[in-house]
Amino acid sequence: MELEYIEKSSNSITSVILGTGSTSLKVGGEDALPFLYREGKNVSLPIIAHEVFDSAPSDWAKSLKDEFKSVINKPIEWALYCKNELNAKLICLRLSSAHPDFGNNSADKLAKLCRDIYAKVNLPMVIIGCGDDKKDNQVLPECSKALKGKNCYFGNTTIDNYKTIAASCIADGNGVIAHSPIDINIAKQLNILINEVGLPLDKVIINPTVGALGYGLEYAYSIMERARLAALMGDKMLALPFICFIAQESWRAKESKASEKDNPDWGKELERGIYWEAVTANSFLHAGADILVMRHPKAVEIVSKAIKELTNKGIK
Amino acid sequence: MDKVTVKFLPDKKEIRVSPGVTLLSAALDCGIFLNSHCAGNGTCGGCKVNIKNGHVKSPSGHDFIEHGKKLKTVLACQAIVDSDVEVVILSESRMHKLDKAIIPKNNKQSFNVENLLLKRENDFQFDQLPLVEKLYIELSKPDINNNTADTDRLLSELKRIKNVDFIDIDISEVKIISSLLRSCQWKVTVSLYKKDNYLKVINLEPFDKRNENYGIVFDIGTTTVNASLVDFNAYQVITTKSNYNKQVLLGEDIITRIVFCEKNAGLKQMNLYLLETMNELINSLLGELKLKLTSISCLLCVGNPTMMHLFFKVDPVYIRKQPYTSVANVFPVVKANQTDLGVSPFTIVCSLPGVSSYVGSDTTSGIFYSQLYKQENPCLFIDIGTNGEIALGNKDWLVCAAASAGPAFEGSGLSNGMRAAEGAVEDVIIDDDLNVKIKTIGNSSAVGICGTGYISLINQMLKKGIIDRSGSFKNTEKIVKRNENKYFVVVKANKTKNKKDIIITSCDIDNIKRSKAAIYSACCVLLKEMQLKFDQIDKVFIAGGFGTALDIDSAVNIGLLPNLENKQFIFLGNAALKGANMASFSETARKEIDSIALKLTYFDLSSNSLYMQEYMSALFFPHTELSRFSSRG
Repeated sequence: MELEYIEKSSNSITSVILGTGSTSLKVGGEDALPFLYREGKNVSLPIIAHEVFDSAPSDWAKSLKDEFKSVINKPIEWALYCKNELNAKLICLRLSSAHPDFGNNSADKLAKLCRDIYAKVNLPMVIIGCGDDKKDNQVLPECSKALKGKNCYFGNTTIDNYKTIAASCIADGNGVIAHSPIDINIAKQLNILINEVGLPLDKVIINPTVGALGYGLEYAYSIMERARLAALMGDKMLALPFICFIAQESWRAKESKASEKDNPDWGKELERGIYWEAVTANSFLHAGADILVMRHPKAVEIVSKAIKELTNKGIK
Repeated sequence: MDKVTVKFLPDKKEIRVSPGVTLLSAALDCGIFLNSHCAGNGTCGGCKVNIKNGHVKSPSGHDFIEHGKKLKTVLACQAIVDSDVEVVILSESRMHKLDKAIIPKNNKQSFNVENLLLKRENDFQFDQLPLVEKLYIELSKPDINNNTADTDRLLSELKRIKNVDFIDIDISEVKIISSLLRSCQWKVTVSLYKKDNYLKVINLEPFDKRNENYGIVFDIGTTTVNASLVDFNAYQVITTKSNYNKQVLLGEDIITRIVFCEKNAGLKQMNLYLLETMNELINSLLGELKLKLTSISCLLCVGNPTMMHLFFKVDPVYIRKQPYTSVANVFPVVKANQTDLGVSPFTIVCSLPGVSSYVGSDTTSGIFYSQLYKQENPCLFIDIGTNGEIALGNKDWLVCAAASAGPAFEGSGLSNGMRAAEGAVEDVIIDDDLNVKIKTIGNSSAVGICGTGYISLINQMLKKGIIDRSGSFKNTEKIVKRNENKYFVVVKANKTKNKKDIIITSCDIDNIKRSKAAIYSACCVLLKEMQLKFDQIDKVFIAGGFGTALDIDSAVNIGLLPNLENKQFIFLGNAALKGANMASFSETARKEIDSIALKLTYFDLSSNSLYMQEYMSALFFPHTELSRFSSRG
């Protein structure tokens, strides 16, 4: 006789819709831990967001840069390349050139860029500011205005800097990425605060912060797992989809950047980078990630295949 | 070098000091207390004074013009006296003395504290066996047929009266006994100390001195020292006084003080400051009734373990270091001449038993006073002080923990914080246009904000949307921004005593948030460890200096107290002192406190992972788990 232990959840993750019309995507909605199809429905598949930068990234590994050589200085083309060549369904635009120390591009200019990219690719978008609170508070509201009604998601909002961004997203019918530093309490507190400003919970996606393989992956994983378990047990304020910035972390790891010449026994540099990104992404799939923000097309291919296998098996 | 004169205004106090001392210590020698949270490191900026005439050596300070005259503001702890100088003490730098009574708040939530307390004391069935009993004995004179030794003569008479086989006596009494007995025609008053079956002669006085039997009970707090004068004949507390613990000048909390003790002669200085504080209280208690020093038979001290160590001049260093051991939880009874207390050398100095390195005799006597250990159903005991103590239990079991809450609720370490004394804002109402209405203690013009005032203020700021649940200011025009600091004006300058705005800053809010989180999460952890929930708690006893004016609804709304019904909260005031007062009168009380100390199981929160989790999620107003609190009031 087969021994069966089935746990049923009392709550499900809030479904969040990104974008509008035929290209819109739905994430969340799970009422069980990832891929446990006997315990509940994992209604939406995890989605991969392709990362596009507004200016050529200076610190990327050569193997990664080579992949986007032709478009790395042209964000609109880059986004189109992701859509047409890599089959992207979701674009994650990083406005790193807004940073006062790295370009200091104006809100107007970046808002126009957002509008242009959206017009060209017509895909749902996640727009991430430069990380400087003051500048983000100028730039993101303008970008939100430019994408009014497009149901895009803006971040990062933090516990110290959420009011301006959340308010403009309410006005423009957009949503926010709520960023917490691998801390389940702050994650929840930020959701409460954003919700109290007036943004409905189905317009919030949690960025719980992740670490790459070998760089705190387990810790980030356990925090996500705890949050997801609490959510499934009834905590509405934590029952929101996760977005995980995989590539940003994995390509920072020494192992994905170090040259083959310096570390001959580590194997090929290109393969290392790809595997580091793929393994990190795969792990967070199991922690409950709903959106994986990725870079390398090969890593994306590996992870897409894994998602397909995991979900096909379940849907039977 | 010749001494120089330092004159303090507006006190008009003068002192001659050697050049090289700081203005802070000169002020202290004059009995002027200045704020010094940083222990004189020049970092907190609490001790600002103006130099009116003369000159001091100071690394910093700034000039300003008043009435056409150039004045200089300096930090008293950094300013070195090198010549005659006249100094003006700024009102905000002054530590407010506590000798004014704290007036309990009278509104709908206020409990009739006094009646409640009286009722409690009448509930106690306690015997009348004070710590020191005075017996009057007329001995038969020796003659050639009965030339028993003088000491034996006295002791055998005492043994007969007390019906015991052994009574102890010190050599110091033996040395004086013969001349004393002969000087008073063998009529003598004997002071006896009794503990269980042990009896000891502690003092001999000529003739009948039974009517002069008093004691002084001390509650030695980290921030405040309270003392009461008790009459062992009438079984009454005659009067109670309190003052700042002078050690505040050497550091604000227990840990800073222990660190200070590690310095050369640090322990000696700590001890000295405490004894100075206690001696001043003794003088003021005795002065009021014009009592002689010799009429004080005994002193009874309670306090947290660090304070008890510092009182007995025992090095507290191991309290701070893993595995956190104290030198003693129960200190021996000593004679006053083994301390530097300004009482008769025959006076004995006793203390009550503590539990662990962070839970001391103030907690055991407080628990005794609350009668927690006699309750049918589980109840909580919360002593809100710089070192907050929590106990949980009933008639069958008792557990306790200490949570380092910090001095925020005692009004210390905040921009405009002060003790619950006259002029302290104790209640706040903010209307929809964000205008602030305040009530101060004594209805006088506002000087600062006390713990209850802060609790009420934060509750109102949350309600009116001035701050969000994380405690950060929302974007309203009422928020003032200076440099990177934001603050909210509670009382405008023209309505305050010092003609300066009374404000609350984001940093203050953060401090209070951490304090309330420490206390609430300690309660949660104790409950969880005992597998209880708050709805199983019958009563919550609240002790601490500010307990009487606390508004429960506000305290629950900010997440300091658990969300229970108002009628379940019982205010005790200074339970430690009140419990110790009773212990000085009654042997039953002392025995019960001994058994409480034995029964109390101590939970160390610093090594408890659950505590850290609870604490982190309590850093929100009222709590990250919103469902634990429902808005009220």
